[in-house]
Amino acid sequence: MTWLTPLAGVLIAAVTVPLLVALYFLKLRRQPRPIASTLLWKRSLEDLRANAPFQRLRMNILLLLQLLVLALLAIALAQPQVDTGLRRGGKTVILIDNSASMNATDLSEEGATTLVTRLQVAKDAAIAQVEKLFAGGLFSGGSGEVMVVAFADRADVRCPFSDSRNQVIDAIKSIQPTDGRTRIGEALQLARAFANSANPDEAPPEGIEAAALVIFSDGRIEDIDTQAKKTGESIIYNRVGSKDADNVAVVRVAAERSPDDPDRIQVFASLANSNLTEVRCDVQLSVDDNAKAITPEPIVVPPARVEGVGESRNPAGSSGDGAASAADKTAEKAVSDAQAKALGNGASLTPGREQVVFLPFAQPRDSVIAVAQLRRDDLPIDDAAALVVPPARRLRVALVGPAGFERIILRGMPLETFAELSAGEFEASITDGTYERFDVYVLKGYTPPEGMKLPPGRYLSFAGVPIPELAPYAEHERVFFRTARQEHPVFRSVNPNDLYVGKAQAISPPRDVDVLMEGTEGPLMLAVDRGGTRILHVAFDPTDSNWPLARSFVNFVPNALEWLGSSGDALALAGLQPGATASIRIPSAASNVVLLHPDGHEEPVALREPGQFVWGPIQRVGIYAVTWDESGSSEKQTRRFAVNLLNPAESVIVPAEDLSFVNEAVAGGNVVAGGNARSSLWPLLLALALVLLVVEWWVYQRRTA
Amino acid sequence: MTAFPPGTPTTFTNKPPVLRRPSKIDDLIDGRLMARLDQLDVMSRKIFAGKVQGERRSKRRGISVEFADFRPYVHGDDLRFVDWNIYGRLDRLFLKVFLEEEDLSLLIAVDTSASMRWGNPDKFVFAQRLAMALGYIGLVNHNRVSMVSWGSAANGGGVQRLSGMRGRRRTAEMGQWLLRQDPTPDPKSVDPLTALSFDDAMRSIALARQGRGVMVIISDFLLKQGYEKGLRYLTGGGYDVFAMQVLSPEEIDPAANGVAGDLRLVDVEDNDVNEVTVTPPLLKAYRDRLNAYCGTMREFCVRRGISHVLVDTQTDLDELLLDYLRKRGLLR
Repeated sequence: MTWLTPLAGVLIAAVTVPLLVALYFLKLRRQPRPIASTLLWKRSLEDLRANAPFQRLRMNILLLLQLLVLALLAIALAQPQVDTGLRRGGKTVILIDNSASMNATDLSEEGATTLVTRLQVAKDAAIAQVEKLFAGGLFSGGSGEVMVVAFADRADVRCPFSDSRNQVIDAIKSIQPTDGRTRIGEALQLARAFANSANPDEAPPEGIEAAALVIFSDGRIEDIDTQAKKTGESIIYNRVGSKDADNVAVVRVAAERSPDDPDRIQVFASLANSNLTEVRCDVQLSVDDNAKAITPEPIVVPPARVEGVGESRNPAGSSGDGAASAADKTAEKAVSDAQAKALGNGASLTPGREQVVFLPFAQPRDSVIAVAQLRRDDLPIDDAAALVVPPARRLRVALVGPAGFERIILRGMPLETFAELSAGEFEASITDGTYERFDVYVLKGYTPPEGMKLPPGRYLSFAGVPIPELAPYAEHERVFFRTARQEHPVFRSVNPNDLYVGKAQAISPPRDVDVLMEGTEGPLMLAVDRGGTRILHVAFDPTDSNWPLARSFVNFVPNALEWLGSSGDALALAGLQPGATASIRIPSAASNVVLLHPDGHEEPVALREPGQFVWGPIQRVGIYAVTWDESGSSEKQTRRFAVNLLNPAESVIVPAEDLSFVNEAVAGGNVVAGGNARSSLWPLLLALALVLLVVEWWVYQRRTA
Repeated sequence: MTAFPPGTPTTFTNKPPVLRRPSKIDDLIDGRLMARLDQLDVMSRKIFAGKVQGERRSKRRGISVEFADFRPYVHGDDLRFVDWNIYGRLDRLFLKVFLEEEDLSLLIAVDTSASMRWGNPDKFVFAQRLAMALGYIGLVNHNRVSMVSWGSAANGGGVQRLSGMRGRRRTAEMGQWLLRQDPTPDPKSVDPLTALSFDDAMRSIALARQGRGVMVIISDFLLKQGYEKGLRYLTGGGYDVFAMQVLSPEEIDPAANGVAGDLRLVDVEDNDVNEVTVTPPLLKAYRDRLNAYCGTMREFCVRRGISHVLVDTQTDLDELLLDYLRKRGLLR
């Protein structure tokens, strides 16, 4: 039970009840009656008063009724509400999910002109709770402290524990939607840390009450099954979202320039359907905002499958063609039943997938390619995904050091320019800043001289020590191939199984270095990615191995160059996800760097390191553009990158029935649009008081008649 | 006599009970009752000496037709009773002593304090009729009947007397005297406590009584200052005392007689106000109080040779006189 205005009720009761009783004593309409002698009465009264001071009030049904009416009115004035278990007093942490799925508009009321997102509903509900927590004042025994945390990819403390109602409400209001994933671990950690009891295995120490965690979320939390609910911890899950939420998402998009004809682009996309019925939707491909193609007929995306409750079922599978509408309805009901059932038991929903492949088209320039599904659903942000495709361009490669077999391969590659530099020339270009003429340097046994450091760039390094951390501590002999990261792009069509290395560097790789290939003695190939510097280091000279004689080497060198060369633009091709950090190579002489957001506003960005644009975490999806001035050019240079949701987990927007922590499931309570689920009791109380009043009137009439 | 005789229940009204006050002697005692009372006589548990020759044998030798003895004349004896024949023969004065037939003094004291003018039936009306009937019996049997009243505000609370009546012809006079008594509280009386207190009245009666006989005190005995001292005056004088406690039905069982609700009880004598809400526990406490009060009084009386008779004003007077009082030894 929550009381909106307990003070009013208490005050009214405190004033009126004694008043009524006093009136009863004072204005009791006693009939004067002469009596022969009050002798016996007086003594009788004395007898009675000795053991019952309020004897005269006893059995007075009128007074009882009036007191009851008064009590009901006072209670009604205190505005009791059915409580959801929110505590008053103590510490309360309000955790609001502002991940991508909270942008769903499934809670908008019918006929409403504006769409209300789940986040807005959650914020309103949270504010309502806070107002209730802080309502009352004098008699609420201190409303305690409230902390506000927004969580998506990361947790964000919007307001540490505060007893200021306005501060808390402002903090809630200031929560902005993001398009990030939903991870609650950090938020829980923060909340517990702030609440002074961080160890989830321990009950809160004596005297310190664990904070109540009030979560507003749709329950689609990726890491919920790695989190534990603490003993004695009070977690309230306010479920935001409708079970009928409808969503079809573009979860993957890729574009590829054909190696034969770099001018032509082929686009692939993948759709995910998180509904339990199959959907048909048109998919549109647009290039630079111009519709390029629409699928000739709607794509049929299979329904989502429910897993984890008995056998997985595919309820809508057979209800398709031409069935009677009644049968359809039954099927739909079965579907929603299954959905409800599925979501109650912590079962997972696997969205139905469908691939879309567009015909290749010619696009030599760089362009923004967007794939959108045109069906209207509750979560618009995942209906489209965009890519920035770099212009069809060939690499500029320089070979530093003594040439070997790789020179033959490089010469045979379709490169824009290929140069062979001596170490001295390379170092000179570093000092005079002209090193940016080449996209990729192939370093043969090159070690930068003392006091010099490789500038940001892309390097394929054979032997040598490109950075000090890769300095060998010894030399291995007769090393055989053991394993390789075959899924890595550099190993496309590369089979190094027969590799034998006569002499290899013994390197102990630093933590941030990826080991791509290992031999029997230690790492043989490492990928270093530090800021603007990306190095693919091979820990042996190919001439010391049998590799140059194998076909795999011929495939490896172009793969490596392509991976290194495009890696500056890799984000454009792969796209970024919300929550990630954009890191783009721009000329080191760039100045006046401005980031243009998808919503149109511009944000100047100061570079921490010349030549490296870093900005993040990115909160919203869309096409971002980085512009800068370059000396010697009056024109603004622009680089665009796309941020797409592309997250099948966030695209499942049906709210989870409960929060399934590792040790315990917390059942959720609904939060609906346009108000909270709690209902006031005062109309009921007033009606009851009226009925009592009528009864009282009847008794009075009966008594006086 | 606390039990009610079967009959229609009295109705209780909020106003002072409407009385049919006796205005003539017939209202006090009718011919039918007189005829029945003619057979009765006031009885004393002892034979008492009297001043006037009466109809009963006295222990004292006196003037009567039955000769008892002679005794020597002493100075102051009535010369009429000197036996002159013996004087002529012996030259000494002797008195003739007869067995004297004595009368009986019957003193009827009626409480005329304001509290008597209450109840339905009215306590005072009942007391008037009872006094009239007893007085009539006394007159008819040639007893010396005296009437005393006390406590009337109209008379300043003093004691009123009507003494020395004897014989049936005084009936009218006695009746008129009784009709004149009025216990209605005098609204002009500033302080009702100036009315002669019960103790003073009893002392006055005790001092003024003559001879010996039967004394009947008719009152409700609801006395805040207590009845003990007053009654104590009456004992020891050789009188056979009857304390007739007259209570109205409302006093005996308030619940059955419409005493209910929230009341402001005003004492008619001293205007003492008691606010009560009549509840079952209160009624029970009242009944317990009443029983204890009457029981204490009865015990007090018995210990001092006083006969205590509790009378409900609803009681039929015939039944009371012809049956109950005969059993109690007042009448025969």
